[in-house]
Amino acid sequence: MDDNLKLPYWAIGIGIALAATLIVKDPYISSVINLISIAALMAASLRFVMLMGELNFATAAFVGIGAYTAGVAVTILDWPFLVALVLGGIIAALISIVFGFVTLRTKGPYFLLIGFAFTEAIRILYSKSMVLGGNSGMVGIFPPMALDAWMPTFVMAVAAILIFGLYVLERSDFGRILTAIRDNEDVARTVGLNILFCKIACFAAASFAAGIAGSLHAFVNNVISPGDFSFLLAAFALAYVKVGGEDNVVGPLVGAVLLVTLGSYALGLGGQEHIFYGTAIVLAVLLLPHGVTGIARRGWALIARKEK
Amino acid sequence: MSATDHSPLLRTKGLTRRFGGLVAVSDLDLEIMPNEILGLIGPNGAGKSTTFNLISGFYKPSAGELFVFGQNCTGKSPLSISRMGLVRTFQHGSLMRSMTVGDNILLGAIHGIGSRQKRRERVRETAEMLGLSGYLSDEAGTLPHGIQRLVSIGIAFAARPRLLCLDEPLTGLNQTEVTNTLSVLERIRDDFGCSVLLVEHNMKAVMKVCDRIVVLHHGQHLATGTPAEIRADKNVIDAYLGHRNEH
Repeated sequence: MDDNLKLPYWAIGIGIALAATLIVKDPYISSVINLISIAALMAASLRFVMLMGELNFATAAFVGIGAYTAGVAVTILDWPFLVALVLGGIIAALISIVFGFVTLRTKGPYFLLIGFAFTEAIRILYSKSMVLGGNSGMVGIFPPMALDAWMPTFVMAVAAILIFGLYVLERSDFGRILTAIRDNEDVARTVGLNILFCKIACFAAASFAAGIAGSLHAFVNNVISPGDFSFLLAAFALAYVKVGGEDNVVGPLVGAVLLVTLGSYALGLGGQEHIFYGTAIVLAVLLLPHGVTGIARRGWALIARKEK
Repeated sequence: MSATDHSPLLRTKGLTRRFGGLVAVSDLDLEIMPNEILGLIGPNGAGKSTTFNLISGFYKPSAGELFVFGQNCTGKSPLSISRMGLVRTFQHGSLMRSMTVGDNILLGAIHGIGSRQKRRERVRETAEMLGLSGYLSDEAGTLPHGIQRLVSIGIAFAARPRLLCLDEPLTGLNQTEVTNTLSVLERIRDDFGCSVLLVEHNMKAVMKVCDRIVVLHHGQHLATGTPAEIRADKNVIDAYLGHRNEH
C-alpha cells in the first residue's frame, strides 16, 4: 500500500526532457523528438489497458479518431487549436465508452481480435468518406504560427502531463482494482466492485490519451491519411511496451525512445524500419521478459548488493 | 444465536439447478440464521459448489427462489448480491497473486468506503484480526499456502459482510493452521456478528466449529442438525460418512 508518487523523479525527468527539446535546433531531430513523444504517449495508453490484462489493439483506432477529429475541427470547422487538440481526446474517449460497454465483456484473444477488427473497419470508413478526404486523407492541419518553433516542447509537455496522469491513476486504489481484474476478476466482483464499470473507465482514460496522441500526430504531421492508423500502429506501441518493459511506467518511455530512434536511423539507411520493430518484439519477448528497464533494475540491484 | 432476531439471513425455497439432463441441486430449502456458523457438507458431486454459486448469484436457478436478508434475490447478479452483504470466496486461489497482502485486503475495503484513510484503517484492522499484520507488504503469491488462505478470507471479510460464504478454506492446511483458521471464524461470528457458511471436507473441523450442519447428497437435502445430531443420523452415516468412524 505504498502511496508514494515519486514526484521529485517525475519533476526531474520531465524537466530534462523539456530542456532537451529547447536545446535542439535541428529540424530533423526535432521531428524525431515529436515522434518519440507521441509514440511514448501511445505506448503508455496501450500499457494502461494492459494493467487490467487486456491487449488493446483498438489503441490505433482511437489515435486515428483523435487525429481525424482534430483535422475536422481545424480545417472544416475552423475551431481554435487547443479546442481541436482536446476534442480529439474527448471524442476518442466517448467512442471508447460505447465500444467498451459492448466489447469489454469479452476477454483475452477475443477482445484483441475485436480491437483489431474495429481499427481496420474505422480505417476503411475514413477512406470511403469524401468529407474526410477518402484515401488521400486531410491536409493543412496546422498549429498556430506562434507555436511553430515550440512544437517539440509543447508536444513533449502534453505527452508528459497525460503519462503522469495515467501514472497517478495507476497508483490509486482504482489502479489496484485494475490489477485485481487482471489477476482474478471473479474475486474482485465478490467484494462489491463493479468490474465492467472499472474496465470501461480504464479503457476511456487510455483512449483519451490515445486520442490526444492522435491530435498531436495530426498537428505535427499537418497531413493525415487512413494508412497512418492501421493496426500496425498498435503493434508498434506493443513493441515499445515490450522492449522497454511493462512492469513500470518508465518502460514504454524507454522503449519508445530506443525504437523510434533506431527506426528513424534505419529509415535513413533506406531500410524497412518495420523489420526493426518485428525483430525488437521477438528479441524482447525471448531475451528480456521484463524489458530494458527490467535488466536495468536487476543490474542496479546487483550493484546495490555489492556495495553492502 | 441472538435472542432478538430470528429471521434468517438467507433462505432458499425449492432451489433447483439443472445442467442439461443432470440435476445438480434439487428442490433445496436452506436457512442461514444470524450469528451462526453453518456447515454445508456432502460427498463429491453432492451439489455443494452449485449451491454456493446459486446463492452468490454466479448461477441462475432453474427453479425456486432465493431470499437474502429478507429480499427476493432470485436471478440477481453477483455484484448486487455482494453489495447487499453476502460475500463469498472461491475454492482455488481466491486472491491476487501479484499484489501485496495489504492491497489484496484493500480490495474488500474499497466499495462503500469513500476515504482513503478509512480504507487503510479497515485493512489494518482486518489484518490484525487475521494475524496478517506482519505480511502486509509481501507479495501474496510468494507466501505459504496457509497464509494465502487467510488472505482470501481477509479480502472477503474486509468488506464486513453480514454473511460470509467460504468454499473449502481449510484445504491443504496443517493442523496448527486449521486450528488458527477455526478460531478466526469463531471471532468473525462472535465479535462481528457475521454468519458464516462453510463448505468443507475436513469433517473433524466442521464438527468442531459449526453450530448447525446441512448435509447434501445427490443434489438433495439429506439432513440438518447440530454436529451431534448429524453424527448420529443414520441416513448421513449410510450416505456419506460410511464406515469411516469418527475419530
